[in-house]
Parts: sequence; structure tokens; C-alpha cells
Amino acid sequence: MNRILIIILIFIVYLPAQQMDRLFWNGSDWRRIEKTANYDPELSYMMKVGYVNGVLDGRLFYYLKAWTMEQVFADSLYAETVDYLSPRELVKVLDNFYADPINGYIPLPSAIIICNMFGERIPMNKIDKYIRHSKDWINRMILENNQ
Amino acid sequence: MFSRKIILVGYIFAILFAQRENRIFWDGSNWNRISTKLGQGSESVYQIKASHLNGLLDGRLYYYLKAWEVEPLLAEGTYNDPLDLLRYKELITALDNFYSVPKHNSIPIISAVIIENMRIGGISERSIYRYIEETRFWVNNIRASADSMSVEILASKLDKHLSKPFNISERYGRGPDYKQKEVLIKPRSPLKRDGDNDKNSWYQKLIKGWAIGISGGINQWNTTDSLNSSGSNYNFIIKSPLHFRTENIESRIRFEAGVMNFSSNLNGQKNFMYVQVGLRESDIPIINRIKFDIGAGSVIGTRSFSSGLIISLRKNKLDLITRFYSAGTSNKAQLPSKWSLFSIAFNF
Repeated sequence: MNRILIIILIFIVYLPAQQMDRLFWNGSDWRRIEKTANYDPELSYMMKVGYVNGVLDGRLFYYLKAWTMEQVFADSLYAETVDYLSPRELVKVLDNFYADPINGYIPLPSAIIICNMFGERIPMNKIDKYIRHSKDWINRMILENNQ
Repeated sequence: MFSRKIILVGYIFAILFAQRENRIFWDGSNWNRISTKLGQGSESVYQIKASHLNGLLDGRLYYYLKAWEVEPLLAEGTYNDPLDLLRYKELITALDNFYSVPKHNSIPIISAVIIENMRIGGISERSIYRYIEETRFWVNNIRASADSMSVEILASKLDKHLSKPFNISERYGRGPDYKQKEVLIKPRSPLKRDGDNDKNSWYQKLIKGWAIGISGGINQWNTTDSLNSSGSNYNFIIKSPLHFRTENIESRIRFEAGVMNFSSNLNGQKNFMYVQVGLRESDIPIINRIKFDIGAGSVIGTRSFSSGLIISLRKNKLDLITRFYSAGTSNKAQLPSKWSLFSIAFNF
């Protein structure tokens, strides 16, 4: 009985710890939105578009702030295209992107860049390279965060 | 009265949509619209607001980490705003309060998050007020710039459009491959110039341009010894395809074969070739219907030459022919040297 209690306690402690390790929303959060919204398509869309707009607003706000401090640096840091697709298109492409479980742990801000690359029809080898780079980067960040 | 109301409502809609177009960030109106749309106190409202806040924080963190890898000092300076002093639930409640004041509607949500975190972090109200005013100022500046940019974009598009040479194919998006119809000015129906004409077989080319007709008229000569000798003529007309045409001049060759008789018991055949030359595209319409007519042939076995005028009463259908003949030298006894002929000709 005690053993079972200890195992349950470990699970309870371990699961939130896993959640804490996550720095950004990723594929699993994206897919969970539908469940949170009780599979209501309109509500899921509103939540998704709210998140996407949040990322884009956060990016733009700090781009403008960085630009007032160091223009060249800001322009190089925020060089990626993130507004090629409209929010509605972006939500659709993100749905498709995260339908592949192998992309599940790529952060949503990276996925937004990748989806815009798809929209711009950038060669697939470059997109694959960026996806690999994003995976390496997020793994490294999580490891450093844990340490 | 009713139409006035419609115009007013349409105008309000147009203004509202135009206002929404140039909004850069999500702001108080977006925040409040979520509650309005889904109903106050709904769990969905909280979920959507939390999603947006998650997005804001993720966007900030993502670019902070990217910047930190390249320029740690600059990243620390840029991303030093306090954003994580409140939990989501508290933050949402604080933002609801903040945006309940209508004058805060234009403040972006991300700035409002900073403001509420400043408030909870113990920053003085005076500093917070200054921050709000500064935010309002730069947001309005950006919005005004976006407005003027829109106007500039439209103006540059108009310039680009007006600088283009007029080309109806491009205007209607037919693309450069579109084969334009070549339309002649005068013909009744537009003519296409395409490859079909060149595909005609040799006999079609040969018979093309030929036409036939008939004519009939009266003759009269006025020599001193045979005054008032008159007669009639009937001719079969062959209009040949041998003609040339420039912008101003048109000429055509035609043949006539028929019979001719006079009151002085002179009867016989007539075989003639005529060349008709006339002006075209003249501003005076009657000029375009008149052709100078010269001919050579035989009349009742006598070599003869003619000159005259042809007036088309109905274009290419009915001609009034006036000719003045001079007989050749081979058989002067039968035919006087000068006589005139009037005839009405029908061409088909």
C-alpha cells in the first residue's frame, strides 16, 4: 500500500516537473487546445489565433524596442518572415505541421517561422535544415535550463 | 429618409473597418471584444485570454534567448521588463480592470502586461502614468505612420499604373501571350488577321476577289454628221481580284463584255478592260464613292479607248457609269470618233 502511495506521489511530482521543463508552447499544447475547447472548432480557432497573435505582438514589440537601441542588431535578429501567411492560414498550416508527431516538440515560435517558410516556398532542404536546427536549439535550451 | 439612414450606417461601418485595418497590436478593444463575443464570465474567455498571454510571453522569451546567444548585454537591456510577477489568473483580472477604462483602449496588451507588473512590483503611480502616456504617444505615432504609409503605397501604385502605356490586354490581366485582334478602321465588322487566311488552297486563292455583275445603259454620240444617234448596251461585268490599295488610293481592274447597238444600225460586241482609280479615306464621303475610269478594248470591231467617272450609288452594289469613248483608227467608217455612254451597272 505504501509502495503504491509512493509511486502515485512520484507521478504527481514528476508530471508538473515535466511541464516546468517546457520553455514554450509546442505541438502537444497546440493539439491540446482542441480538447480544452471541448472540440468546438470556433473556440479552438479563437484560442489558436489568440496565441499566434500573441507571439507576433511580442515579437513586434521587442523588435521595435531593440530597434531603438541597436538597429543593425534588431534587423539581423528579426530577419525571418513571420507575416507571409495571414493568421487564419497560419493556424491551418500549424495544424498540418503538428499533425506529424515528429514535429511535436518544436516550439511554436519556431513553427510559425517554419510555416511561413513553407508559404514562401523556400526549398525543402533549407526548411529541413531549419527544423533540425530548431530541434537542436530547443534541446540545448532545455538542458541548460535544467542545469 | 430611409436611404439617408442606410448611407449613415454604411459610413459608420466603413469607418469602423478602416479603423481596424491599421491596428498594429492587439489592444483594449480586442481584449474587451473577447468578453463581448463569448459572454462575460465564460470559461472560454479565460482560455482565449490566457492563450494570447502565453503567446506574448513565448514570443518575448524566444527572441530574448535568440538575442542572448548573440549579444547578452544588449538582450538584458532590451528584455528587462518585468512580465512574470503575476500568475495568469491574476494578470487577466488586472488587465480586465485596466481595460475597463475606455481611454486605455489604445494601449497594446503587451504594454498593459508590463504596466500591471510594474504596479504589482511597487513602481510609483507617477512613473506608471508617465509610462502609459509614453506608450500612448508612440502607439499613435506608429498608427499615423502606418496610415501615411498606406497612402504612400496607394499613391505609388497609382503612379506605377499611370506610367504604364495603355494596353487593354494587360489591364484585364490577359498576359503577354494574349494575341490582340487587329481591327481595321473602316470595315463594318472587325477583321481578324490570323493564320487561317494563309492556309487557303491555291484554287481558293485564285477565285478569291472575283465578282460578277451586269450593266445596262444608253449610248449617244455627238459627231457633226450623226447627231443624236443613240442606242443601248448590255454588258456582263467581271470584277478581277487585281487591285491594289494604299491608305489613300484604291484601284481595281475589271472586264466588261457585251453587246452595243445604235440607231444608225450599228450593232456589235464590246470587249473592254477598265482600270478604275479612286481616293479612299477622304473626309468628304462623296469623294470616296467616285472613281476615275480609263479603259481600252474593242467596240464593234474598232479599237477604242475610254475615260470617265464611276459613281457608286450604293457602295459596291450599284454604280452610275459615265464614259467618254474615242474610237481607234482601224475602222472609222463604222464608228464615230467620240461618243459618250451612260449606264447603270449592278455588281454582285
